[in-house]
Amino acid sequence: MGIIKKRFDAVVVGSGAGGSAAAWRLSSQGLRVLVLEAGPKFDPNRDYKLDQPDWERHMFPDLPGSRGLFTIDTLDPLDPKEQELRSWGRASGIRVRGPRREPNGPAYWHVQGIGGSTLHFAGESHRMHPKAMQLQSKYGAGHDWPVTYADLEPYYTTCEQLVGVAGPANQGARWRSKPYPLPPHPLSTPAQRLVAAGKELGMNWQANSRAALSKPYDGRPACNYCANCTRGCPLGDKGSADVTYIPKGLSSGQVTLKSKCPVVRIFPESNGRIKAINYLENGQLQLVETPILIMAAGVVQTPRLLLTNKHLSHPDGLANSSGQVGRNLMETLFWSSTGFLPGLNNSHMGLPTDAICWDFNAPDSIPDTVGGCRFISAAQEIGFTGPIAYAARAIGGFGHKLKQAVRDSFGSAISVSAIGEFIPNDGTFVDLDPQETDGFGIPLPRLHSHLEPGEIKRLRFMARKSRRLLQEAGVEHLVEEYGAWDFFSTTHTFGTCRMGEDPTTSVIDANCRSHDHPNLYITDASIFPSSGGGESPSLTIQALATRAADVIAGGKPLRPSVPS
Amino acid sequence: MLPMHRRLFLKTAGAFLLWRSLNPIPAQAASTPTPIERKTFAAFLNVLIPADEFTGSATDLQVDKKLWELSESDRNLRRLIEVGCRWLNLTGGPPFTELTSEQQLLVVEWMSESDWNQVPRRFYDLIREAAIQHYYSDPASWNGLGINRPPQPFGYPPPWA
Ligand SMILES: Cc1cc2nc3c(=O)[nH]c(=O)nc-3n(C[C@H](O)[C@H](O)[C@H](O)COP(=O)(O)OP(=O)(O)OC[C@H]3O[C@@H](n4cnc5c(N)ncnc54)[C@H](O)[C@@H]3O)c2cc1C
Ligand code: SF4
Repeated sequence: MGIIKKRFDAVVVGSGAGGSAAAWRLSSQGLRVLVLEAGPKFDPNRDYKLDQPDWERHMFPDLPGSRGLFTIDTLDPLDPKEQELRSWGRASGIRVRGPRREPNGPAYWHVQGIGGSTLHFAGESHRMHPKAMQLQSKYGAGHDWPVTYADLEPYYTTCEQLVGVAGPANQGARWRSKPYPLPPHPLSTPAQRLVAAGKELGMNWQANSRAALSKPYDGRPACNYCANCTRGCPLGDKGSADVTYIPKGLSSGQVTLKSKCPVVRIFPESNGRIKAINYLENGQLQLVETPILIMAAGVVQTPRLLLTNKHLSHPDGLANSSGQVGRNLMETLFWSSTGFLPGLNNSHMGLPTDAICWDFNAPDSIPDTVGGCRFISAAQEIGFTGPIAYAARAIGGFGHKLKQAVRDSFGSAISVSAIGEFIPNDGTFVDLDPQETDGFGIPLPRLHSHLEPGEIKRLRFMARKSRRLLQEAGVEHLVEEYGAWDFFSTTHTFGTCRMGEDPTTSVIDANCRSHDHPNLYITDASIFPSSGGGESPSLTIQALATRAADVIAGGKPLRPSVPS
Repeated sequence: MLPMHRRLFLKTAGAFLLWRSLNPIPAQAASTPTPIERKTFAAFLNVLIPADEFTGSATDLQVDKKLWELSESDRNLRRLIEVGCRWLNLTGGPPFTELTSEQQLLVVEWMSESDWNQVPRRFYDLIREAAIQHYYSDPASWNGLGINRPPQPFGYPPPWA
């Protein structure tokens, strides 16, 4: 085993949304930081395929080591009464033919690599709805956050400035101390139709706030509206961590970043302090001591590392005296409906998820259930950006009719997607697989997923509203629908190391510090006490991570903002 | 109406082909395609994607060649093509390539609506998708779609209306 002699002030595990932000903020305050990343470094010029003729066949690249291993437990049986929530496509027919929910693709969508899952994110940049952070005290469901919107507001602003977020002047309940650094993006053709249809239905649609540059910013170019952010942005205008927090951290000279170096062991002292960690580099075990350990390996690998590191003093794993590590997993409650709109052109162009409706986002805005949702214009986001998607998913049949239908419809896809609140339940969690291990004999994480009636109710609301909107826009026949009722497919994933005030029911405190270990912090999506009503998570992860870094570096966070 | 011999085959072949739900198996044991297989597969692909005034057929854009290449390293795909072509050519009637275009259309139409758990439908669905993927990856198929280059490096600067 090698021993790393260089002294660091902190070690960060993972370089995704939360790890990169924590490392940058610590380094900007003069701390020496080692960032250990399990995955590889992606090279956009080599790895991203958007400039190749067969670009549409390539999703975000899958390099060796760029996916973590996990298993999925048997999923819920499907209740035949809920036929209206089935996923289907004109070409494929019903998507799930068995009696149970099924994983779609890898099911837990994530990237291991420098930049983590932000590499393939769309780049929505959302602040939480203030009321969504008080779910338990105000609505008697889920959990409260131990920090308020006002606590996070200065950090939201800091992160938006660093990334170069483009957004509208006003977002209702999400008050701000400073305008967005960049003006909003122009709306694509399907987004314009949804704004108009929404108006007819009394819904307020507006430009979405996006971590994609509407103008050149901080040495990065403006977006050229290629419509394919989730396949990897080759321009570098999308605010993924590899072009924002990471280069900022590295340029301080204080950050040492190592790719392909998974952390495997964590060593506590008898007083609870973490003393050192083991990581692998070129197959060799390395030991590094650290005064501060920041875990940011994501919703699945962070609890796995904590649970697999059992010691005499911590027989249930690290940071787990509450028994809550792995619990409270919140998956993505999603829906999308798509149709072709005669007369609509060029819907394969523009910025994905460019328009949003927040009207039903507050926790009390959907009848008979706690928890909100948001709607977006989604034709580009869900992949209707090339002829393969049209022919393979949305147009049935073969022969001359198929070819003509692709020509007739190309550029006319219009989609509404919704994401809703997921209230934690006892059947949705991460634990260790009793059988499956990785190459080093370490148990794999296992995902369990279950939908409660409240989630089904929200899904039904999301599906019906999406269809109504498309109908109002002029769509006569839907061509595809896709949702969480029959598919387990999670992109925005939270929980598993919940933050809270009570050490018996939560894993970390308001400053992201473990209740059990005074020098262990967690700064990834695992710490969310609630999912929000469809807000995209990265900006909030980064706000929490920078706030935690301030506490580590200076003892206290910035003063909360006051609404004007 | 589906010819009798093809219906009989359904009963015996069963639903054993789940190409995409299996991991690719290396093709050590995969047999070299016979000339009849090649002809049958090409004819089937061209029923799925025929030539028209704008663009060529599946084989004009070498979709058959690409799928044969793929099948060299994916035994499940190789088996799928083998069994699918055998079904198309069952004796008791002329082979698929010797049917008139109307008869070929009827056979493929029937396949597209047949039982999802049986060979003809799986063969139709999976090869249809694979053919679409390869056909529309070729810029020669884009004529008439309003696109003439991949999304990058130029993107689609506005206005879009
Ligand atoms: C298709 C898609 C679209 C999305 N769109 C948006 C969006 O528009 N806006 C938004 O805000 N969010 C979006 N998300 C979600 C967002 O990407 C994630 O929520 C976010 O990146 C999570 O941040 P994280 O820090 O928790 O984890 P990650 O970003 O996943 O980072 C975790 C890192 O830890 C590393 N790691 C894991 N184990 C170890 C180990 N043992 N040792 C060292 N390193 C380790 C991983 O390799 C990874 O790099 C999207 C996600 C998907 C899949
Ligand atoms: S649409 Fe813009 S942000 Fe998205 S990948 Fe293309 S250039 Fe990058």
